[in-house]
Amino acid sequence: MWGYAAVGADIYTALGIITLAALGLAPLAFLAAGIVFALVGLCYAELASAYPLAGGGQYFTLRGLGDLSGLVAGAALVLDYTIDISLFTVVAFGYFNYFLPWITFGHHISDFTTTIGPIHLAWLWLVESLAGILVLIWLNVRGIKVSTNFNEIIGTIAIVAQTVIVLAGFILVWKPELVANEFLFDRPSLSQFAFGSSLAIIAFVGLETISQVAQETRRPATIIPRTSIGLVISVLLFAMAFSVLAVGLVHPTEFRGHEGDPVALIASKIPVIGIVAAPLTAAIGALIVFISANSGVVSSSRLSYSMSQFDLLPAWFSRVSKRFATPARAVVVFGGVALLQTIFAFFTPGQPGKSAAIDVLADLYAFGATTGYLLVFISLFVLRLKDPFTPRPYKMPLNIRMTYKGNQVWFPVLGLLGFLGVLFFLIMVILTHQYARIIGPLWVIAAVLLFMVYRRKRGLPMFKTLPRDWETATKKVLLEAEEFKSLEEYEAALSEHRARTGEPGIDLPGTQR
Amino acid sequence: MRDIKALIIALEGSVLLLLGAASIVSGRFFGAAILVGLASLAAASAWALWPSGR
Repeated sequence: MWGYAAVGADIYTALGIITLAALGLAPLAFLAAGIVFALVGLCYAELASAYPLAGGGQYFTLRGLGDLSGLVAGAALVLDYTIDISLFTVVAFGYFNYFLPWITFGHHISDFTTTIGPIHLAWLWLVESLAGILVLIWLNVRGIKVSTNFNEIIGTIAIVAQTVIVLAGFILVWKPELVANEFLFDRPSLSQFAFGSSLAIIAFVGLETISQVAQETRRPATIIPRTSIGLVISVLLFAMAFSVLAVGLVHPTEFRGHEGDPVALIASKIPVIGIVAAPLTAAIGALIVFISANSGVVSSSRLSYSMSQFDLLPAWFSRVSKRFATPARAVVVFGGVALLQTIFAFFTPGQPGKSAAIDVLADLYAFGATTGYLLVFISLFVLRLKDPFTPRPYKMPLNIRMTYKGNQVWFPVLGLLGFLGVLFFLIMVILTHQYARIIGPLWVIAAVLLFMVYRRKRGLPMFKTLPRDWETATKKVLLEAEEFKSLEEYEAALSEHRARTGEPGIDLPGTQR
Repeated sequence: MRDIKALIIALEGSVLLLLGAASIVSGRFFGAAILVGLASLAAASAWALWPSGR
């Protein structure tokens, strides 16, 4: 039911650009990002199983820190979903273009480019990507039902294919001495490594997508933690395996020109099976990455729906189309943003002889993810302190017991480490990502302006959190998710607290008194 | 379907472990360390994805 497709597609996208940035130390860049990602995964597992509502990071932040922070987290994550749409569509056609010589009698994608001043425009690739995004918009406005079985089958085929490539690569051609050599003599500079490891966050997106569907899960308390942790470890496994394999198989600079189809390059280097494995990998890559692009469309409309439910965005976004019963407006708006981003990325001047599209989109991506995750970690602390009553079927390991306002609470030590890790990456992004550090904050400021205009028009307080009845909301969620045991525990914890202190208990932003 | 994924990853882990052992025997300790590390990661993910109640 949870598509590995949503998460496993990321390595198909990330491998080339990260190896090019971090050179011989690419496996370490993946590891650094992977450790932080694992902590983010544990944090999401805790929050999504305690608060199983569509909205993900934006909802946790809204609940823990109030409306304005919720808006900032939501805006950052929506930015990422729109980049998801453009980046993954571009890469999906990168894999598709592997077959281009077969269709066009020997012409490569580099033959379909033109140079306009400093801009190296891969116009065919641009046209394909724009058409791909338009197809996604059309499918989602009409409303497609991708069967879960289809997703499962594609996900399983991808895992089998990845496993075969990893194992065949390690057995037949991998040279540990080449890895050691790359480690020692092909080191990136410190800023290249920082850039590479902050890019590696892309290899680990998709967690947000899981929390977006938390509401549709029955018994989320048992299912969400296990699935998230399983996904975190297996994605980490494949990312590490592929990067170690890549460094011991080809020189990092060989990825130049293969940013669009890095895994197919790896597959083609494997003797005997390479001749079949490479086109097969390209086909699977194109399909799985395109499915991932589609999940960007779905998640951005879900997230904006959730935000307008909480009066963070105008209700205009959540209006459902009468004809197709889909959130058509949100799909068109965010699909449109993705189209603009794609055009911008293709028209950005890059290194000579090479399109900068994937570099630009990947550069932009890391800002939204790190900003969103940072706010989610802060909310984790606040919710642990101020809302110890909501049952947490899963808790991040390693906690310190302490007393806060008469209640026994658990302070998450791993959460603190994760917070510091994400903060470090956010600083790296601002220092080394030349596009993200400008466009990211501008996007968030634009969202805050829209929020102010909307709140002013509705006559709502601009920066104050609106009153909300979190107690009833929690009870309703637990009831709908059929988590009856948790519901009982919640009511018992609250009434015990009230009997002991005479206070209402819940002290979150917006709580009605 | 999820048990198939767990199974595939478990198989992958055991092959990686075998490769690691082969590397130790042939004296390539750097490679062996990486392979055994990957194998343990595979074991952990197979364990986490393994369906409960089985």
